[in-house]
Amino acid sequence: MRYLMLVLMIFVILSGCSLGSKDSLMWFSSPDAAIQNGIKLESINESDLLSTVETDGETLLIFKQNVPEGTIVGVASLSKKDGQFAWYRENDPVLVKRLNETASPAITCEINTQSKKTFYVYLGVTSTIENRISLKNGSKVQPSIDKNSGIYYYVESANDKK
Amino acid sequence: MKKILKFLSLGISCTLSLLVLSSSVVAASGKENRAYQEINRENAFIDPSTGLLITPLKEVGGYLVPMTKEEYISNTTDLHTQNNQRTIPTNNKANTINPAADYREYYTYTETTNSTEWSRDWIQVTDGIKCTSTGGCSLGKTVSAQVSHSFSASVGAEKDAISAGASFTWQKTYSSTDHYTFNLALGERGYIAFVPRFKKTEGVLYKYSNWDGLLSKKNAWGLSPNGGYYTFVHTDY
Repeated sequence: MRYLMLVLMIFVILSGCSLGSKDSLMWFSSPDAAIQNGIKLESINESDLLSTVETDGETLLIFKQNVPEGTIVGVASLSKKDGQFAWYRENDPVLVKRLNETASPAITCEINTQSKKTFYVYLGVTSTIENRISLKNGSKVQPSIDKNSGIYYYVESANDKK
Repeated sequence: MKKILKFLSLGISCTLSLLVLSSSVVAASGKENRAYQEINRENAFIDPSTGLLITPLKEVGGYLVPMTKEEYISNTTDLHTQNNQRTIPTNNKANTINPAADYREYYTYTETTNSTEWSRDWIQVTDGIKCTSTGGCSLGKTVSAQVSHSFSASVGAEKDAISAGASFTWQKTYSSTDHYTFNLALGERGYIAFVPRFKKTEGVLYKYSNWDGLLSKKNAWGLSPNGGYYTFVHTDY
């Protein structure tokens, strides 16, 4: 009887754990609905969504947010399962633009998706349209630039390099 | 209390039954001319409170005679009612002494406002670095930070009331681990810090006791961790 109770307790605990992690994402029938939910979760506006990047079978969403110190940039991804979509962000944003400062360090962050894919996202601030940046492999590319904020970004898949 | 009374009434009934039996025997042997009433199963009935077959007795003219079921139930109900009335505490609280185990205090919290705020206490997550290379430096680090909830109150029960009364889902801790590379120019120095974000609830904390009702109230707040961001902090040293 004691063993039966123990087995039941373990089952209940494990069930609770798996339900909790599954329920941590809110699933929607369309990508737009999932993105709208993400905008709400991050407490940002639609205009803060800088870009939607499709690469290596993943949809990455780059957004900015104003904070007291300046502007931060975060990267989320769109999780897909059984024809449903969810906003997923594993990594915390980073401050790329400081108030009253023109120069900010160039930043590279590693982003993970729910499907365990990794991406390098290059971020920074520029005042010129021509702003070639160096990638980890040494090659130079022209990143996308948000004209209003001067924030640039470039996404590179890290999966074929790992 | 009821059980004790039932047990007592049962005991009294049984004792009286024995007395009657013995007196009947005496009457039959030495006092044959004295009228008596025989106790038999026909006069007995089931006591609704004990489930036992009994013949309760009453005194009539110096003799014990069996009671009817109605009389017995009526008498025992009256007895219970009177006893219950005696145990009800009076309304005068000054004259009432209640057992200490019954007394308890508890807290409730009513939220008046909630907000999201960035902490001013940044968490340094790397050592300081100074870039001395003419070609610039690359500071690549796996950084991690952990933040916990906090309250204006210090008592555990007060904290529980605040977190339970907040209008949002309360998170006790937040852990963050990320990999960032900061490219620094020659002469730049500083460190990487984590800036926590909190959900804040503000409201009124009420303290009650089950004896006296509201004891006190005070303003209170609680902070629940809700993410954050990383930043490079420039220093002059």
